[in-house]
Amino acid sequence: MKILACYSIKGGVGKTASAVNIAYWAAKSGRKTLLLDLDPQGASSFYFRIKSSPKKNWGGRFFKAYGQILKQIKESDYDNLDVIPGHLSFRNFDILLQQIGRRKNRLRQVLKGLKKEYDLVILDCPPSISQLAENIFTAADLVLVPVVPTTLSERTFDQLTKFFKHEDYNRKKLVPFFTMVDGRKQLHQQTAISMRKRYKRFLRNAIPYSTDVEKMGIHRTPIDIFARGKRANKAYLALWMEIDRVMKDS
Amino acid sequence: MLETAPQACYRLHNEIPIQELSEIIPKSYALHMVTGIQKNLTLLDNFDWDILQSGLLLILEDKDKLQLLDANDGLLASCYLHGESRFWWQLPVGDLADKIEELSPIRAFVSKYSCQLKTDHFNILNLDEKIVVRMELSTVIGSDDQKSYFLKLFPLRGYQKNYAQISKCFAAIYSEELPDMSLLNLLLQSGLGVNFPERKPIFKLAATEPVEAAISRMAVKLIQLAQGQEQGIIDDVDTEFVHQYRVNIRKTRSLISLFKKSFSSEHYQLFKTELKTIGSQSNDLRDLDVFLMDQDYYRSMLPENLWPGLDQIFRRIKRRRVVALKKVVNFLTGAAYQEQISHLLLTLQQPPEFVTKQSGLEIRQLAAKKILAQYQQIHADGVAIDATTPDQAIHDLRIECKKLRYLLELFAELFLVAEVKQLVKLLKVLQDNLGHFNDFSVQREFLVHFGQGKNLSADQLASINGLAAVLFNKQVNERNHVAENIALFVDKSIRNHFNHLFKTNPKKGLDI
Repeated sequence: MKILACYSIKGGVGKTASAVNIAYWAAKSGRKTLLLDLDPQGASSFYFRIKSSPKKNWGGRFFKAYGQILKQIKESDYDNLDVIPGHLSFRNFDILLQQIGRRKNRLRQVLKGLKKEYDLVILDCPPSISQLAENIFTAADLVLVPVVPTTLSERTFDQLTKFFKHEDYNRKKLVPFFTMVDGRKQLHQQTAISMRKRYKRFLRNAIPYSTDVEKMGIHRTPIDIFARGKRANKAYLALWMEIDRVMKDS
Repeated sequence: MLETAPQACYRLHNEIPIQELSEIIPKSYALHMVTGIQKNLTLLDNFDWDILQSGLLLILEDKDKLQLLDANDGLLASCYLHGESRFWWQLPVGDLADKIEELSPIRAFVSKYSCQLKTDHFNILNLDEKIVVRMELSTVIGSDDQKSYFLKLFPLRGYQKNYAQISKCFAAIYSEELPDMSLLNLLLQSGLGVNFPERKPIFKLAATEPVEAAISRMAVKLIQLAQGQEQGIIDDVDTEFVHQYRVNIRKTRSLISLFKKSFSSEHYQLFKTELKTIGSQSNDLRDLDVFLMDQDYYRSMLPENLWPGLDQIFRRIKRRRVVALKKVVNFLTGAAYQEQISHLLLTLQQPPEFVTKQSGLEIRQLAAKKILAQYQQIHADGVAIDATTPDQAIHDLRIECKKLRYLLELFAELFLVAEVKQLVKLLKVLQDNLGHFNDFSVQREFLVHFGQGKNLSADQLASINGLAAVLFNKQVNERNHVAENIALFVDKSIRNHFNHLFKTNPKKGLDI
């Protein structure tokens, strides 16, 4: 079982759209996939029309046992794809992790039991650099980082790589890719060129800026369901195929 | 570990329109039809149902797609058919052909049941338009236009409450809850009849049953088993029908002959003559079948330059087989045979005459005595065989061994079956050796005889001579093992085993 995290310090960069579409294509290519929505906002669960648990504080038991997680798994409308929906109580994860001793491998331990059922677990992560984020960096085999080719996004990615270096995380886990790319904008072009020069692990495939990605909120499905022939959809498929190759090499 | 409930499968009373289905589920759900498929299916298997008996299904879909499925409808192998495909070797080279070779190496697969299968898939959505239950509605239309309806609900993980709520609503419309909706179950529910033929006949003999009654009953059953093969011979489905027909007639002959003192001489003569006539009708056909079945083997024994001659021989033999088959079919469908077989069965089914001393004895006692006597006969004949013994003695020993084999197999149910099986296994080693010796001899004679025919080309003669030489060498090789195999079979431990298993009460002093 491989664990992929869709992570960025910055919000609004297309993390959730990427997690949803990558999970969809992984499942469609035959991987038994679980999307774990760690974001208390539960946006990726919303895209799959899956409601979070009515139990108020189930997040409080999240790190206690793998059995707790199993109870929350929901089958999506798509073959091979299950989802653990996000929950408001997940906002307390940092406090919980502190209470149980600041161990960075707690998430990895909890997810370990899922290997009997899944080939791939995709984590849709909240935008913060916190105790939970450090657990994510330890648990994930690859940390996929969506980057909008703008100055601010470049800066946050630089911060993330520095953090990895400083905290001695394996920087090879960091796999950035561009999202919301507008080829007509000179700034996007220049930023992309300069970042690709500095960071060799950037994926070749990028996600273009597209209203189809925004329309996911209306359709509440992965893009392939309502915009099969469109550029954004093709881009996500190509991105997944490239991630799959990187996973095999890692 | 999984949080899903088991799937629920139902047989429905009758057809339910989609509109009605929508009304069955609670109003907070919506029913959406996704796809509907329709296909024509034919279940194929051989006479013995060897494929189904292995837990697998061979399905022909829409006349050209052949699929091998496991019990859960998992696809194991498939191929598209071109032309006649009744045997594994007629299938395109590949996985499916290999698997069918294992399951049915000799026998043809034929249609056992045909139907049309219509399957409609539905999703049941909640108010968020999320799928919470999946549903499958199947209609099987048999060849007699009889329709059967089935419904299956698939729970989705994490939506057990919705599933429980929805499945409860269907309770009123189904007639029967089914353990599963596998294709096999659908076919069985829709009229597929499966009767596995008995591999070995069981006669339900009672130890004290009078010999004449028991042997007559056994003979009737064996003749009826032979009759069960007749249609397969007439339709020329595969060569096993002739083989099994002959085996059953031969067993009957052997049984009657071994227990001849149980019948009046008038009856015995009748059985003997009639069975001999019946059995001999298919001698030529079987010889030709055996030769044709071993084509590849014969080819492997000859150098490549002799293959063209061999191919010509096989073509001639195939033509001969057509004639031989016609002769057998004419015989089996003729009034004389029908008369003969009915007369035989009627005579055997008459109440026992009890005119001989042996006829009223207990079958177990006499069968045990016969088995022991037969073993002792083999022992006596066998130890006299050495390198200089004429071949005829080996052939005679083969016949005696065959009689012992029939006795052991036919009467096993009266003794300790597992121990009898063990003895049969030991006997089989000797029988295989003697059988090969006989086969090589018969095949060589067949070829020599064939070689004396008219219009044979030089190629054909060269192949015949080459093959005859190889067969002779093989026969000599088998001959060299006969003495050692006899010695093994008459070894003291096996002798003791026979004596122990088939010892009889000496006070009864049976005259056999």
